[in-house]
Amino acid sequence: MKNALLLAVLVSVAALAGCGGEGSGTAHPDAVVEGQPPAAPSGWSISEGPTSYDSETLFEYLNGGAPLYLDYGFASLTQTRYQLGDDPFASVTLDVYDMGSELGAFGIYRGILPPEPDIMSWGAEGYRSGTVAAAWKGTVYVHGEADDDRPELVAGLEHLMGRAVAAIEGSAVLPPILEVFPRNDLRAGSERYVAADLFGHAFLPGGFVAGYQRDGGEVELFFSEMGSAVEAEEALELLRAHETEWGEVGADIDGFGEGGFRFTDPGLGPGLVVRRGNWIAGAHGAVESDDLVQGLLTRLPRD
Amino acid sequence: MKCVEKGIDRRRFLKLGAMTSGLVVGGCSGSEGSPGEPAPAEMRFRDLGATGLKVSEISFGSYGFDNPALLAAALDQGITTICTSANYQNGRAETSIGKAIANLGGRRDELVLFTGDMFKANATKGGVLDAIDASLRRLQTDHVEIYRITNVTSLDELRIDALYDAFAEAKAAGKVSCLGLSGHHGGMQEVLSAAVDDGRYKVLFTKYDFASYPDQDRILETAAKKGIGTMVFKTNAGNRKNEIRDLETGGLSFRQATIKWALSHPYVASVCVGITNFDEIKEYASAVGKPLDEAEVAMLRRYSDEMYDRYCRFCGECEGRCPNEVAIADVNRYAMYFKYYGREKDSMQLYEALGSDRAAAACADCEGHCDGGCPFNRTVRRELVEAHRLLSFRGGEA
Repeated sequence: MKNALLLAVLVSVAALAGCGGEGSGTAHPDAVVEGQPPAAPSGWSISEGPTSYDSETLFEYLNGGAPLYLDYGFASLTQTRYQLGDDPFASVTLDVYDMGSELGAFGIYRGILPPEPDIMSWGAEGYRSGTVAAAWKGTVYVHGEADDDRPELVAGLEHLMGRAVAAIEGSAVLPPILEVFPRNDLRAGSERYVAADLFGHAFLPGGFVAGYQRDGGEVELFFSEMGSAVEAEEALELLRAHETEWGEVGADIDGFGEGGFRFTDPGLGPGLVVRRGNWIAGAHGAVESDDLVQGLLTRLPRD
Repeated sequence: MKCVEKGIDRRRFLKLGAMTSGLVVGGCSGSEGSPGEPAPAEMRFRDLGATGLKVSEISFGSYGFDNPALLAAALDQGITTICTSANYQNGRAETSIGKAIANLGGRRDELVLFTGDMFKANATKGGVLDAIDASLRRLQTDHVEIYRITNVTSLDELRIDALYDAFAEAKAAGKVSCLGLSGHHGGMQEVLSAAVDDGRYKVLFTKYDFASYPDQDRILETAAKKGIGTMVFKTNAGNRKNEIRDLETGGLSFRQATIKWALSHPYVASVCVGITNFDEIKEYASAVGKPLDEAEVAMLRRYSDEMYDRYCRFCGECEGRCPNEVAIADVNRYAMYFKYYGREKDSMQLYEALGSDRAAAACADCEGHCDGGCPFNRTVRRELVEAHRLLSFRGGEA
């Protein structure tokens, strides 16, 4: 899967590099992050902005969505609205977010990825789904939206997305930590980074999840790194207490990891969780064997 | 005018002071104890205007919500009003709620579901109907109690005939019950007032806190008289609590206090809070039924005092007083770009594009009529003089 993604990234980078001579309006690398949006394509003009938002003013733009972006490390946003010709209802809005880290950009991208998008060759990953498009590269997450699905607007959306992402410097590969997920049965593109409150638990400081398609059904694997082994132990006990209150706690796990137990959660279904040093790892869903969790434990970095 | 505007917050805090003496502000139903007695820690419900709906005083804000069990846990705490939108995480929030609803069985009837979408002024009836159907599919339900147009920023986006036509058709089909709107931008007062006058919107969903929007009390009161229900969010006035040392000492919860403050308003039916973990459910739910105590009032007062005049909200309230028609909000915004965003050249170009008739060149010699116009007591003229010096290629020249 990773090889396929890397190939896609390389192809996209090569394609964008081939379009480098885009004329005098092309923003220099990272200019889009510093408040200089891509120049308007021929026939288009900038009708609003660029407008900048920081962590204090993001609420004015995103309303209830702002806390999620802040959790992922949001640093700044530059919003620009482009208009085709004289029609005020023929516009594309381009939002360029500096998420502060590659993990933050990846996390927010995967976190709000719609089902079955059209994958695009933008940055590390990109998609378009109807009138919405998004991509990430380096620490930057780019989101674009057209007013409606007229072909000329969708074409403008794709053009602006491509130019914006091409102007961003930074890595176009997936975060290396994702490699700890076992490869067999992994659903392509299912890995996510959750910045806070993994599965709704304030005592889990975020973590990583990935989906697997197994013979018995879907399984989600997860892991989270705590600050110390003691904190990991405490978190495991809090999880046990939570499942005692809200779900069911099953048998203890003795064969691998430390302090593990099985549970049935009202939202997550059946699962298991164990600790290894600073790490908490587990699985939920159609968990018929423990091999995925055991495989994950062996691949997690040593403390 | 000046006294009224500046008196708003003082009046609010007087109201808070009264509550600490045991005065329970009316407008709510449910299990109310005698004045002065602490209310039981269980959810209470209020009439949502004249819609016939009863909403829990705490509503479940679903952005970032990622575990269906959270919604079930919220329901167990009596949080039966669920706020979401098609544009929350590209529909993921609705999908998560749908999974939870699928497991609720007959308990769906306990919920007041509140969803919606953004629509531009050129939206079509078919497009709105499609959006409603898509939300219902994701939510795994055949109807929602409230459907709202979200992120309204101007009157053009408020008066969309296609939206009204589509809503009427969907309502006739039993898919939606009440039309609402939400918005949170500066200048929302104009939109809210127009929506109240319009009469077709039955629910307002708006930002509301103890440090902003001086006109909102009056607007919400007018709405209530017309049977329009109000739900609020962003009650924490920017949530900059971490910038104030020891604000929450002694076991105080700033978030709980802001919720209590909002619920003290007789025209607020429910406070919507983002919920992403189980702890928050208990924290927020336990704010219900308890009036603010003196320590909480002092905490909010301190927050307001320390944060009150730190930033321009770009509300434009002061512009009406300016004899020179200076675009004060824009000038302040450009100065912010210059000072805090490192966009010196860009901000100067934006300022130049304003034109000399809207720039702040005349402010240096002005009496400062704007100073009395800021509902947040900011010294506007002095800031405009400074902004002009920063942004003008020719410094302070007229």
